[in-house]
Formats: sequence, C-alpha cells, structure tokens
Amino acid sequence: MRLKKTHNWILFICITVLSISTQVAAQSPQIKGKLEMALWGETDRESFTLDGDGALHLNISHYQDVVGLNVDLKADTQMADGWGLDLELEGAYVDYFARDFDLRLGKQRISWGPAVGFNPTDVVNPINVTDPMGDKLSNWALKGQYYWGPTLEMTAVYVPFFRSSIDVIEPISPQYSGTPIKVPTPGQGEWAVKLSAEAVKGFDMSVMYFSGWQRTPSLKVKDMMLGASGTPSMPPSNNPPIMEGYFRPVQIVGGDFATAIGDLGLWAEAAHSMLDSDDAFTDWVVGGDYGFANGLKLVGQYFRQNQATTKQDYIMVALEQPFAMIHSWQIGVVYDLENGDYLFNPEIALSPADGAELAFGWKNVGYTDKDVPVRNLMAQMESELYLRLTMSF
Amino acid sequence: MQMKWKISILFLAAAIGLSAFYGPQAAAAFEPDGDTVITKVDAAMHSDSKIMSEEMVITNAAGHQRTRTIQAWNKVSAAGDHMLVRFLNPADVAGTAFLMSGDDMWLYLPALGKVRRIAGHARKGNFMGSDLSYEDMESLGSSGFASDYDARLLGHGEEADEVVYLLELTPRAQDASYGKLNMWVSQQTFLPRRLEYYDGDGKLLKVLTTHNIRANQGRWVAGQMKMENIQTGTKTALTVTDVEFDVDIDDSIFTTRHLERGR
Repeated sequence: MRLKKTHNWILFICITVLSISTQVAAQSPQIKGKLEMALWGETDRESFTLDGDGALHLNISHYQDVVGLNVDLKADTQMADGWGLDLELEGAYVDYFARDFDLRLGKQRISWGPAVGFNPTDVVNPINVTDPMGDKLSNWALKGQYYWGPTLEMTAVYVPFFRSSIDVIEPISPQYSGTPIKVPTPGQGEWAVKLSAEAVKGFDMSVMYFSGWQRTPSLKVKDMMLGASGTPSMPPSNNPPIMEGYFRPVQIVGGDFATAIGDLGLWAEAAHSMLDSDDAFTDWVVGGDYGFANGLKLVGQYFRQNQATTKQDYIMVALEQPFAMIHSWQIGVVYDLENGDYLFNPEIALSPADGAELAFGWKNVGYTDKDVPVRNLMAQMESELYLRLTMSF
Repeated sequence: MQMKWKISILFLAAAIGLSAFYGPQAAAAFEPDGDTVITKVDAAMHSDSKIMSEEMVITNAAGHQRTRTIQAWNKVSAAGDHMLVRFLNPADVAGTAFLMSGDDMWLYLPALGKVRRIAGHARKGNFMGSDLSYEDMESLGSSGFASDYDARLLGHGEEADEVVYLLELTPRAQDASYGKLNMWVSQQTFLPRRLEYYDGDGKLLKVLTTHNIRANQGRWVAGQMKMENIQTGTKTALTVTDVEFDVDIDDSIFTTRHLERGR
C-alpha cells in the first residue's frame, strides 16, 4: 500500500494523534518510533546536487498473554519530490504463541540466513532494488514455527499475494516499453519451509526449500513461431516478434550454518535456484568475524550473486570500532572481482544524546561502465556525501 | 602463700611459653586460605536463579553520560549457566537482547529481525558499550571466580569501612582476559568491596567497587557496582533497581525462540 497525495499529510497526522491518544488513554498498546532526517549531495556529477529526506517509522504493538498485534507505519518525504508525503504500511500482523508453536499472520518481513548484508536463503521477501543491501520489502504471509525442544525448529511460510521487487514493473527496457507483463495471481501463491537446528556441538544450521517466482520480470517471445522441423524460429526482421513479460517460476533449495571457533565467528550460506527452461544457478556466501582486544571488529565475506544472465563474485570487508565510549566509526568495502567495481563507505556515528545518532559518511561508488545498467550491486548506487540524524523514542 | 605464688608464676610462664611456641600455628589454623575465601565469595554471590532489573550509566572521559536500563535472567542448571539480558531503554537499543547458554552466545538486534550467533571474542568485549565485559558480567553474576582463578590470601585490611581479606587471583587459562585480579573481600558478608583488574602487562586496567550493601531475601546484595577504566578514564555505574533470587525460571526463557520473541 503506497499512497502519494498531499492529503497523506492530514491522514498521517490523524494516525499519529490517534496512536498517541490511544496509548495515553489505555496505557496498554506500546508505541515506539524513529525519526530519520538525511541530507546528501551526489559527488560524481558535474555539479554538486543537494537532496534530503525525512522519514518517520511508527511501531504500535499490543500483546496480551499469547496473542499480539503489531503495526509498522512509515511516512517519508523527499526534497526531490517536492516534499510530498508517502505513506507505507510496512508491517501489520497478528501473533499467536502456543506452547510448541508460533503463528504470525499478516504483512511481515521474514529474515533468514546468518550472513551479513547478502543472504541467498533469505528469499521470502523481495529485495528493494533501490537499496539492494537494505531492508527487504514486506509481504502478506502466514508463518508457522514448530519447536521440538530448545534445539530443533521447523518454519513453514505461505505467501498468497505475489510482490515484485519493483513497484512499477514497466518498462522492462525502453525498447519494450508497454510490453504486457503477466503477474502471478493470488491462486498462484508461494511457499517455503525451513528446518533449523541450534547449538548442535557449537553449530547452528538449517536447510530450506522455496517454491515461487522470481521478483523481477523476464521477457519472452509470445506465441513463438515454429519452423518446418518443429523448432522455434524467429519471424522475419520486418515483422518483429510479440514480446511478453513474465515472472519466471523458481524453486530454491538452500542451507546455512554458523559456528564459533575460539574467538573467530564463521558462517556459510548457499541457495540453488532452479528456473523454467532448465536454467539453474547457485548463490553462496562464506564469511567470518573477529574482535580485537581494543574493540575493533572485523567482518569479511566472499559471495557470489547471479544477476540476470551474469554471475558476480564479491569481497566484502567491514571494520567497526567504538571511540570515546559512546561514538563509533566504521568502514565498509564491497568489491566486484570481475569488473573492479566497488563501494567504499566510511562513516562516523556520533551519539549526541540517549536515543539519538548523528552519522556522516561518504559513499564512493566506482562503476566502470555506465552503459550496462544492472551489472552488479553497485549499479543502483551513486557516490554521495551524507549526513543523517536518527532519533528513537 | 609464697608456694602458691610460685606455682601460679610457673603456670603463667608455661602458658606464655606454650603460646609463643604454638601461637602462630594455632592462629594459622583459623586463618582461611585464598581458595577458601574465594569459594565463600562465589557462594555469597551465587544463586541458582535470579531476575534482576538494573540501570546502567556509562560516562566517557569527557564526562558525557548515557543511561540504559536492562533486565537480566540467570539460571544455573545441570546443563550449564544460562544468562539472558534484554535492553529496555533508551529507544535506540530497546529490544536488543543477548543469550549466553554454556559456551554458546546469541545476539538479537530488532533492526535485523533475526538472531545471530556471536563468537568467543564477544565474551571479552564490552557489554553494550560499558566498561564491563560479558565475561565480567558472567563472573559477577553467576559463574563466580573459583573456577577460573587460583586465589592467594595476601593479608587483611580495611575497605569501605569494613574489615577485608585481600586476595590475589591468578587466571588458570593462558589466553585469559586479565593478567591478574586483586580483590578486597568483606569479612562480614564475603562480597567483593573492591576488585582491581590488571592487564597482561601487569598494568592496572579497571577498578570495580561495590556500594549500598544490603540484606535481601536472606543474603547480602550490592545495590550498586561502579567500574572505572583507569587507562581510558571511562566509568560505568550499575544500580540494581529490583532483584528476586531463587525464582523458578522456565528453561524456555533461555532459548533463541524467546530471545527473538521478546516476551
């Protein structure tokens, strides 16, 4: 649900006032929130362009014994859009906790996999293509978890309504603008199961299976002409084929583990995707972390991601250390081993008060061939200097 | 009469002679050794289970303060020591929780929405940005010191208006976090009143002091602990706002399911 009208401001103010007054009156629903304000300037353009946005996240929850209700609302506004207000229902679900099982019904995010930032087995929610390493998009689902004692758990998920990675799914490319795209209907739901074991001789591990659809559309020739031998043949060039966009069905099997060997944390995660037309590929990641006595934490990962028709291997390194007890600095690097594209992101996060953070940093993106629009993770990123204030309440 | 005096003087001389000969050994027989004292310290701090609410104020070298409130569940069972800590305030860390069960540790960060296993180095790292490490919390909470340190009694003294034993604790493990500890133990309550942590080079690293000692449910409890890092100039004050001992805590509390569920 994504609305974008001026009266969203009025609706938003009403929801906020209603939420707060409900809490004051009943003292039972819990309201938490986060206000984010950011300013950034893109640095790889001819002139320095300044942009900014603001977002308010509201979480309203009410739990009583074994039943609970949780609603996540997000309101955001951006300078480049003339400060229009977008409202989004990021989550709305009901929880039921039984002795041996939990149920969650509603719009939700389901996070799977022990890796950092890139999780091949985390397939239930679509990636947000505008922020591929950020939060995934929530979708409507029924999730059930059954527990056999403290170490063994089975999760089953059913997603009745398909959600794409992109809200507007056309044009696929400029030359095919207007091409119709077939979207899976509610009857063609997605489902997944996962079996997890924890603390088995120091290992956490799981295996998973998913049956659903790819989240970005592909093109195929509609009503392919057949040649004399029965094999497909392309029509004459003066009569171009009729194209059709569709979401390819996919089955994914995967697994992961995490363990600690002394002071070293280790994890690995892999998922094998099987598509129509006998296409198949495997995404995987291996990584580890280590903490030094001076508080410095080092995280390293090597991962392979298949993108459209290509596969990319990346190295990711992150360093983080607190300073002056309440502040911290961090440096993140992602490097595409095939093309030499990179993201270099140093950041300093200051704590001006309890519940507040002021971060400033630099995203330096090296994307060597702008003519290839979606070659890798860095394709959607811009180099920028940024300043971000977050206040939690 | 004169004879009586002579006998009395003889008895007195004999008594003085005997006490001079046996006195030190007799006194030593009543002087506890280091291991006995540290065992009593562990017993004084130990409970099979407890639920504790605490306020943590951290102060950096520039004097800036941040306040956090936490709730902690501890339980010692045949399967090992279990500890669950949940942050209640401020809002940016609220919901963050960590679980220690035997040698396994997990962290739940609400922003990620999932539980992550954390490696052994975290045990030596700072407990949520404070001057206490997870290991410090564990030893002061439920696991105690006797299992990891050899104790030697250095003498007696006075600390915080109490008569105390002074112990030197030497770690048994080669890769221990500290080179040694000096501990001032109350002879009345057997609670540590001052604890000095030395680094591997023998330099004083941190000093812990306990305050507001009070009786609670038939045991002595430190109402406040203050840890000061001498090398960085930072401080952490941990004040107990509520505590219940020997509570029947269900084992299901110490699972990643509960860690993630948060209630």
